Amino acid sequence: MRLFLAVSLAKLVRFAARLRGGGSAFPGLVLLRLVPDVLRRSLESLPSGVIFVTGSNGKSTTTAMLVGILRAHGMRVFSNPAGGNLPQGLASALVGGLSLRGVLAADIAVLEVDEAYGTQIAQRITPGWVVFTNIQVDQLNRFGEPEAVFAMLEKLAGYATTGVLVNGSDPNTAALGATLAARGVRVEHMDVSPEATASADHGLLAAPLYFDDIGELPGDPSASVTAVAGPQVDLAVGDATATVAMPHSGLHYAVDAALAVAMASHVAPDFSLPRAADALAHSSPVYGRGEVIHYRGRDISLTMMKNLPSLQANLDAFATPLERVWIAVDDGTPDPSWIFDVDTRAIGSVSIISGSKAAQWALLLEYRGIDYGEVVEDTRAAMGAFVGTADESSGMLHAIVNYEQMMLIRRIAGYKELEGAS
Amino acid sequence: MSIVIASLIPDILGLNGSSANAEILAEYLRRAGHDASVVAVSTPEMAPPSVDVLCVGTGSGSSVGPAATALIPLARVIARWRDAGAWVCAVGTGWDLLGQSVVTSQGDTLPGAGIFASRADHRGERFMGEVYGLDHHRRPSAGYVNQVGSVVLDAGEQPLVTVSSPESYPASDGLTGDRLLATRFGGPALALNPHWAQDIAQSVVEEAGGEFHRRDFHDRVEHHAARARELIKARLGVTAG
Repeated sequence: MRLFLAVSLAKLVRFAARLRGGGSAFPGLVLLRLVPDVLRRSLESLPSGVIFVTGSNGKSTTTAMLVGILRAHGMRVFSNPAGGNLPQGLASALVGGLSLRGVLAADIAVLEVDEAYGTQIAQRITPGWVVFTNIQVDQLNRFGEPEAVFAMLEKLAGYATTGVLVNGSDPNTAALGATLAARGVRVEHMDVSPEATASADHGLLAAPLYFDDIGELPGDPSASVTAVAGPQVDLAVGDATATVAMPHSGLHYAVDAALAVAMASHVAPDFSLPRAADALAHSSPVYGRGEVIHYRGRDISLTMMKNLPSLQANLDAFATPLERVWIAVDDGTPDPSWIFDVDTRAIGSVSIISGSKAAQWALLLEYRGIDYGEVVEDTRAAMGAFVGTADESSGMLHAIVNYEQMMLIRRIAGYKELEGAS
Repeated sequence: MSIVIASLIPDILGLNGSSANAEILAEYLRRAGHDASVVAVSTPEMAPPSVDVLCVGTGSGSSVGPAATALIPLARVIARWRDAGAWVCAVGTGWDLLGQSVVTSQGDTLPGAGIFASRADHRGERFMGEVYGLDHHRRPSAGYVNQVGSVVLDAGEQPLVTVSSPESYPASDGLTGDRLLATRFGGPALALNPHWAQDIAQSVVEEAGGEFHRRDFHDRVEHHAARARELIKARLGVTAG
């Protein structure tokens, strides 16, 4: 009865939040407050268990790809929306999935989990598998240094009841896997061929951590990226091979795809690589990762500047230098110092810079000798001015944005839903 | 006149934009009409016979040991450059390692290169946040600090910045001296504080018998840097200075 009332109230709150426009973590907070163990009660009884996906970059995309592959194999999958990777975000996603009786119609849960909250969430829901995407230089203002992330993920691995899957092409998650394997943890991995790695100007962009010799990952890879050419990705699982036409170009997407395929190969019934490849080919971008929005008759592609490796990987994927660019960054990026490490050759010229960190971007562009139009700190004014610089022959406009500006821009353009929320 | 700037072990000490200070300084000089080049120096074999400026950046905790090891064979080269009049611009961990000593987070004491009269101790808390103050010429200066522990200057040494805010940060930051500039202001400290780039550039050019003439570029970067510092000051709630 208590669960019925709690779910009913949380659904009501969720409905009200959506009427106001946009998603919210508040329904999840309400549900957690009323039924603190709701995550455990709802998810741990799922027949195929719970998978966590975590790491510095690629969490959202890997999660979305894995969900797509498992659904293509007939599984009913519960997942959280991109970015909703804190406890309240998970609970909010649950509000949408639960029936009023508190039953979740799913076979398996695939959850994107914030690396800093991983152990806190694992104390509420025990994962069967944990997927580690990579450890890169990310949010130093939050984590201090990448070594702290390594320690967090190492601790989280201790909660996995079946095993962990690591990105074997990232030296840091490979070192983490080797450390765990030496302790007797089941460790599976995927890898990337040297030829595929060479397809991106800056390779795989691992964080420079310094380890003593830890050893090798055990066994053969569960999946491999053997070649990447634009959006074409060659994948191998055992003796089976497939060429996938991905919706977007970029080595980082290929790595995410291989992680998803590798994980699915261990949990999907009668796993089929062709079926997985078909699911990947029809996957949609999560927001801010190549998503195109429409505003005043113009198409604007959103490229997230989350951190150095993420932005660099996105820029590497552009075949020619971008000419109509809007850069929008605010206090959601407390320390944008890392932009001075970005290879900016993919940016030909910038039309407008906005947000409270616009001056820091203007400094970078000055020192790099990249033309920029004007600095307009107000986002709404900048957005109007940006589309005003283009006509119908201009083609795609590009916005390089941090998360907070991306959400604001989507709202200004009329995109009110929290994408991916169930 | 060709000005040579050495970027010291940028493969290890180049975290969070900190190795960009060498490139920023080179561009600052080029835009004033002077030829300038940046040379990465990670081993004695890579070291040019002389340099005008030596820049070194910061690194993470696990980089301290490898960076200290890489510096050992370079110590003699660095001392030779200093004796010949080279400037040294050091940020974060690079400053720590060019000081007298570094106590690591594990409690081991590593000898420094002895360029700066300062001693670092990485056993304390990490500070992460924006910092604002006035430098030794009372010029507004700011940056984002992400460093662990503390640095103590030897008696008689002059701090670079008197810190106005936040109160949780020490009352001063950095060290200034004869052709020396060190700070914990992270990343591209010279971008947010082009007056320090001006000090170094002007000194180097005049030492070589030339004159440093500012152009529109220098005013533009000062304009943007001033705006960025103003916003940091406002976020920290500083009303004076």
